[in-house]
Amino acid sequence: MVAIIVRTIILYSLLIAAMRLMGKRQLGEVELSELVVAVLLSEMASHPLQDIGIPLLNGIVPIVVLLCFEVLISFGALKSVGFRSAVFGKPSIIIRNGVIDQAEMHKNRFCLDELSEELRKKDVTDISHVRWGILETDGTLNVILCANRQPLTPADMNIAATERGLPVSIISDGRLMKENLKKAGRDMEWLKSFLKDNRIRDIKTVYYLTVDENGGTYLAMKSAPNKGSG
Amino acid sequence: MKKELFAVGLLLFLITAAFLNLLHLKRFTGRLLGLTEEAYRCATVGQWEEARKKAEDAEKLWSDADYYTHIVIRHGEVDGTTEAFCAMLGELYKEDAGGAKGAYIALKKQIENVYGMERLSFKTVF
Repeated sequence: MVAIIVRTIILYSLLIAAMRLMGKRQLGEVELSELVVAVLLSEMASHPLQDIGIPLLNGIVPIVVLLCFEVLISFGALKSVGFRSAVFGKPSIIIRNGVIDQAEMHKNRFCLDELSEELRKKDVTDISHVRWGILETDGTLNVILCANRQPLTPADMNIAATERGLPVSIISDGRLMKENLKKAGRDMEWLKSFLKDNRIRDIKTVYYLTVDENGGTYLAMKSAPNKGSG
Repeated sequence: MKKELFAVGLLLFLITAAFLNLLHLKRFTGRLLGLTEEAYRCATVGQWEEARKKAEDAEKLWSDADYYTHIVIRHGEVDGTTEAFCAMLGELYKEDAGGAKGAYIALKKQIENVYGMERLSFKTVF
C-alpha cells in the first residue's frame, strides 16, 4: 500500500510537470497531438499506479518519451508550415458572408447542430450576420461578424476613449505582493496612504486589492466568517 | 531551442540506456543459462552434488540481482523465475532425474523469456 502511495506521488508529479511543459493551460486550447499525449499520459500512468507488479520505469519511460516527442513536434510545427499542416491540420472556413460552406462542413465532419451550438456560444443567432466562420485546428469555432453587425466602438463614433490600465494585484487574500507593487509603479508609502484613506489597519483584512496604471483601484475586504446559529 | 536540444538529448539517452540494459540483460541471462545447463548436465550423469552446486550458484546470481530485476522486469516474471529456480533445486535435492529434466526445461524457458520480453523483435513490438 505504501508503495502505491509513493508511486502515485511520483507519477502525479511527473504528469503535472509534463502537462505544464506542454505549455497549455486550458483544455480548449489543446492541439490534436497534445490531446493525444494528454490521454496517453494518463493511461500510461494508471497501470503502474494500480499494479505494483509493474516496474515504475514502465510508467516513467513512456511518459518521458512522449513528452520529448511533444516538444519536438511543437518545435517542428513552429519551424515548418508544411509540418504544422500535416500534424495539426489547417483552419477551415465554414461560413463565408453568411453562407455555410457545406463541402467544408462534410470534410470536417461538423454537423449543423454543432455549428448552431458553437454560434450560440458566441452569442450569434443569425448565420447571415456572420462574415467569416472559421473552424480552428483545435476544434473551436471563431466568428467574425459582418461590419454592420459588430458592436460599436468609440472609434466608430469618433469618440476619444481613455485607455484602461491593466490591473495588477497588490494584495491577494491578505498577502502583500511586493513584486507587483513595484510593477505597478507604486511603493509602500502609496500603499500605507491608500490603506489609511480607506481606514484599513491590517493588510490581512484585505481580500483583494488591484491598481492599474491610471491609478484606478479595486478593493474587496474579507467577509466576516459565518457564525453558527443557536 | 534549449528545450528541443534537451528533448533530443533525453531521447538519445533513453534509447542508449535501453540498449545498454538489453546488452547487460543478455549477458546476465546468458550466465544464468550457462550455469543451469551445467547443473542439468551434471544431473544427467548422476553428479548430483556438482549439479546442486551449479544450480545454487545460478540461483545466487539471480537473487543477488534482485534490485535490478525488480526495477526493470515485470515482478510476475521475476517471481516466476525465482519459483522455477526453487523447483529445479528441489528436484536436484531429491536426485530425481526426470523431475530435474522437467524443472530445467521450465527454468530455461523462464530465463529465456526474461530476455525475450525486453528484446526488440516483431513479437515484442506487435
